[in-house]
Amino acid sequence: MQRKSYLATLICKLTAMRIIYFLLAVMLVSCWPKKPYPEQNYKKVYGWKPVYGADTAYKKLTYMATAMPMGNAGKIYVKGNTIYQNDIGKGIHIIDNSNPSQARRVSFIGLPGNTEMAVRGNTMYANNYNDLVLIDISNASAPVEIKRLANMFASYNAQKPYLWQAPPDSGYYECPRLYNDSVVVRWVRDSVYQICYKN
Amino acid sequence: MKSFLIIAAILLIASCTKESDSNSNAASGGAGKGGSLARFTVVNNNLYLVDDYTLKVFDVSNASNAVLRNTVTLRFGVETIYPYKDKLFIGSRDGMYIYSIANPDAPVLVGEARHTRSCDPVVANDSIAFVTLRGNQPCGPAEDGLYIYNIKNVLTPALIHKKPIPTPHGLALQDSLLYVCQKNNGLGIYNISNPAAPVLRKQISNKVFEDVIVYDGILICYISTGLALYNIAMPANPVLLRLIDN
Repeated sequence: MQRKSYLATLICKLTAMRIIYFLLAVMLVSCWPKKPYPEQNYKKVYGWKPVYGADTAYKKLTYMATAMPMGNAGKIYVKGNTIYQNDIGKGIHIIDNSNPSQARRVSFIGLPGNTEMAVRGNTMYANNYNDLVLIDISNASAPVEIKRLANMFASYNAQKPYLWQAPPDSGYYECPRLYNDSVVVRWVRDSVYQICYKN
Repeated sequence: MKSFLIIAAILLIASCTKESDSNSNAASGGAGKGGSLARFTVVNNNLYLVDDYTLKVFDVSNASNAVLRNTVTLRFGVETIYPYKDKLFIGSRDGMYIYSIANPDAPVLVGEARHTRSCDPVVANDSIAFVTLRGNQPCGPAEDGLYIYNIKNVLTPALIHKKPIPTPHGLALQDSLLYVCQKNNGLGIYNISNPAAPVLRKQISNKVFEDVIVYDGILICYISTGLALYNIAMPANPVLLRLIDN
């Protein structure tokens, strides 16, 4: 008798434990990290979708010894007889301003994701996506990357993406995600959820 | 012969002095000049960089290296940095923040002026700071306008004037004139001899003006399609010199 009730208590306890485990599991699942934007709540529309590329292919400097057409004009910087103008997301135009009334683009530093630059002495500091890159510009016709500090310019906001992470035109877009090894390299038209919007 | 030697020595010393001057210039910075929308700026031996919510300080005294000295956490929505003497003026979407860089490696917040959410590059001189606010999305609901702060007491910038002007963006200060880029509304040139009552002197239209740098008698304008250079021998009456916009 004694033994039987002991067993019953044990079974009872085990069941109770199972229920507790079950409840714990339910709680855990419900605490599971949710997607930042519960997409099922949004309608789909035609908009912009980011295309990602391996960042090794885009985190590098190239140089064109000729004037390039302006894509999307960006910020300006001046030192001595040279004006620098960013081409948003593409790089930096070098403009010979030794005679302002004849000023002209002479060459182009290709630096994907670029929006910023500053110059001290013969060194240019510029961003290549979120890397800070030091460029030796002492020989104007052969700029050389001399140092790269990864992820030093971490401007990122899915709702208000920084220039190089934003679609080229207004409309809804798929909010870009931040990856360690890839970057937004262009945008294509596609069906997207009505979440992020650019004016 | 003796006097010749003396003259030669003087010439030699003079040329050396000149040489070392230009060298020390290069060594002590020889930084260029950015626009008011810049996020990178060089002051002496340091590069200051603002991203969305941090100010990073790099020692760049060695031309081929940049050593991270400090990371200062800022409020959200930082957009611009403007250096003036031993101060950094940081424009963010909720205000203007003034950091002292008396110790160049350790910027210290000394003053701030909060305003409704907006976009706002800043320029300043010893006593006045000029901030442009754009009310359009995504920057916030503030009204478009030029906000003028007395910063004689840098600890408590005091708003002395608020001038509603349409779509103001980058700006530049030259003596008693303020050049304000106004996107589709052109470039406004304001006399600010009395900062509490800026007077519009001239408006240049027909281009979309984004930002501007005053440099060596030239107004360097970032326009939506590229670059426009103006001669400002007559500062209130810029004359177009060159357009590079293709």
